[in-house]
Amino acid sequence: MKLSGEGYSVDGTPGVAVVRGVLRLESVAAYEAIFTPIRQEMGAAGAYTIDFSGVTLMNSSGIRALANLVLEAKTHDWTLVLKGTLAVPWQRKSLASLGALTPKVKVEIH
Amino acid sequence: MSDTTYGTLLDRPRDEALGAFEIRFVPLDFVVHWRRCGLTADYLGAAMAYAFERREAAAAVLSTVINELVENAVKFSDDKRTEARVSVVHDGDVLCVEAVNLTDAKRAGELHAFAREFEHADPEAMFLERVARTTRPGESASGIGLLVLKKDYDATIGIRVRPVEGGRSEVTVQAVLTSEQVEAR
Repeated sequence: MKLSGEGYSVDGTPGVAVVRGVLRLESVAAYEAIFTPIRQEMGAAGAYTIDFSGVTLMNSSGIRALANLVLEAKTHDWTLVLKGTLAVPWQRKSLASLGALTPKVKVEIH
Repeated sequence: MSDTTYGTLLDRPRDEALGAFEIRFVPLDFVVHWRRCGLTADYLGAAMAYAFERREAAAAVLSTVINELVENAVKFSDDKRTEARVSVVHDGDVLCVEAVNLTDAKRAGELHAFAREFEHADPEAMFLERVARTTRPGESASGIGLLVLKKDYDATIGIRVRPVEGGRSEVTVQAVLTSEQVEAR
């Protein structure tokens, strides 16, 4: 998987998606351009990792879209790992809190 | 009908400010080119960040907070050709981000309902409830941005809805941060 839009890119290898850039799309629906391909791969993989370490900014529509993905992982009993870095405020704060939605999702912030 | 305020709104004279910026914009421009929301937030955040020791963290936090308020002002302006504005004022003790826009009676009513709950709710619990709500068909969950600012950035949020002519309302939303919160310490 490889996709990009204005200000961001996603590179995928089996079981892993690496997201980079600034994610400030206009709505939750607009994030489907990113999360639909990821969702399709999540369903096929035993465990799936999304690395957000290279995402410097994300708006609340993105957090909401990501929360929806987390809840979908919970519904389907998929194992999902969200990776981030302490150096980026939104990851240390908002990404970390998404782990509270379900224990099936592991959030690793280093 | 009189003004209704939820939370606390700062009303400090700007001649006492250490730094102040205000940008007036036409929401339609930002709808057509959504990146203008982020560009505005990045500019104001970077400009204000010079007042803080941890400049990079401050710029990121300020950009995030300003962007949420600008995006809300754009989305909830009823007439996208009527000017809205965003300001950032730093008085040394706190930094206040404020967005003002006009909206219609329907959206004002929805904001009243949200703000009544938001004012007293545990933001973490309300966030989880609202996120779960979005997964149900036909349900939406506006207000997630303000919840994120409150629960993740410890921003003090104030909301005022002021009825104006023609059944419309002027909406003012403030997010107030201390220096420690701006620098993400």
